[in-house]
Amino acid sequence: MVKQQANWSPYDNNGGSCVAIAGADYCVIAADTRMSTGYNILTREYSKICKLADKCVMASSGFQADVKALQKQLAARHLIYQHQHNKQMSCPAMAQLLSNTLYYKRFFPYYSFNVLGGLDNEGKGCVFTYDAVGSYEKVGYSSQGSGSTLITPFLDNQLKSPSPLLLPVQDAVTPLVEAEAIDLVKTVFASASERDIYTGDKIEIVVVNATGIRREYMELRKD
Amino acid sequence: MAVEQANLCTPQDAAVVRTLRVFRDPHVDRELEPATVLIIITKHVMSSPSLNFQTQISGLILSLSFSGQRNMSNSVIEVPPKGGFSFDLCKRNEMLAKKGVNPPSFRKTGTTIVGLVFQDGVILGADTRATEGPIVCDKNCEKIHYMAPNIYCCGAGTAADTEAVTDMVSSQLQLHRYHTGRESRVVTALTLLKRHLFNYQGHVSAALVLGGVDVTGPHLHTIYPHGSTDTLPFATMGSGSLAAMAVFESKYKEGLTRNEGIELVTEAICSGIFNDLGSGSNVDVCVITKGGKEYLRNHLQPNPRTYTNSKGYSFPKKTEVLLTKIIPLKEKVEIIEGGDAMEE
Repeated sequence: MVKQQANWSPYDNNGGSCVAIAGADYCVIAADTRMSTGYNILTREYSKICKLADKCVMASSGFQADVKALQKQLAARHLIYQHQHNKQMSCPAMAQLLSNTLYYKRFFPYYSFNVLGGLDNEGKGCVFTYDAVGSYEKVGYSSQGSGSTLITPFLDNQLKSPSPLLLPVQDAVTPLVEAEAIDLVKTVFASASERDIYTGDKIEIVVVNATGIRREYMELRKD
Repeated sequence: MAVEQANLCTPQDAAVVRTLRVFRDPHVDRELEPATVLIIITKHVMSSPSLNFQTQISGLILSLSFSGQRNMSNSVIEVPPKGGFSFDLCKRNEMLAKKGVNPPSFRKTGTTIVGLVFQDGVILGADTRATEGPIVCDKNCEKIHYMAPNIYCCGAGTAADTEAVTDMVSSQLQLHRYHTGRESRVVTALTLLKRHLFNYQGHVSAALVLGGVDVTGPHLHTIYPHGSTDTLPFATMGSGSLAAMAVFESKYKEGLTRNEGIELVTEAICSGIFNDLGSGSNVDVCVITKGGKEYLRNHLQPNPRTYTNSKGYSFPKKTEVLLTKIIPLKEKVEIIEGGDAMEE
């Protein structure tokens, strides 16, 4: 008798894509608002973006139940930090916390693909990109989720520094202005929703800059 | 000898055993040498390109026990009847899958296709999205295929299968028209399609909605990949079939007019387009009546591109030149002046 494989999985993929782009004094984080399972749509208006701290925002795609649990965990730890240190967590500090939280569940991971965006202590934009178990890196831009394979090559072409082999080393942060970066994000999502069935409905765009956090929406294809 | 106990698992095994039987001389009460059997098996396997070497040889040789028991009484081998389906490649595919070599994924039209019978004929509808897994590979493909001037067929499932099967039956219908000198009937197309699909036991993954008007009246049928058919006043197939059927069940009634019918079909397809992730883009409609047909390609386009940047984007060459080194080619042939002229 052939060994029986498990036919119940604790995970599900709710689809969706997220993008984050870091600028000189701003950070743009965007995600679509569609939540799906299999070939069905569960809702067209689900927010995948969560504000973790004053200057720190996280967008996650993957299994939204795990994402919700992860967000709660981080919020609780942030509260404890505020009580102990009498200040908000900075973005790099939150980045490390997220990495540790994910690795804590190394052998039963959070099925959550995250991008963390915000301003660092000097007010410069920063983006951190993660895998499901906490490996992270500070980058100038990043995309995760079902549409990431469609989005990343385009961002590479438009934003990537000429070559990491050239000296002097180019800064990963893009020289684009805030409005141009938002424009780029809208184009990228419009294209991704044309070809990825799990991306669509609406985009939620969050911009973090010196004045605070701003939110805007854009309609996408609904099919 | 234990050839009689050979595991007759496939018709191919049976063919080998039949060959072996021929070699056994019935007049001489002597068993076949093991060496002879091996030669016959190997020759048979080598000559047939479709056989799976591993399962064939291992299956047969394991069951041939050359253990020296030569004095067994002659018993008749049970051989399955000649002909029948040959599923060797299916076994091979299973074996490969177990080893981790998965077959390439094929393009499916995760789809919504519908048909309904109205006052004067039939109306067929389809979406226009073709998917390869989670990616849309064709945003505007044609799923309503031509079968005859008065018969059209919508196809869901594997795109190659629906194209191939409808093209094939369309050609057969044309030849039939030449033979008989009459307009094709929908039931002819139906029978040709269902016979073909049944022959392939569901491996030709084509789910079809066939509709047309002939001398006997308007007809609408659904055909499933395994070969079963239904005759219905309204039908839906594909991954979006439930969404579309919900609309039909609420709003269908007999004796619809042409415009009501087109509106209902469009609504059903839209329901599939917006609620099913495997369907999308535009709505194609085809109206067939006694007088003729009307193929409304992209009758509705409810999904325009949502955002285009007014300034556009430039794509500069991004490959950095790190080092340039030119090595001239050496002259390999020395040209000698004034040699002898070539002779004939």
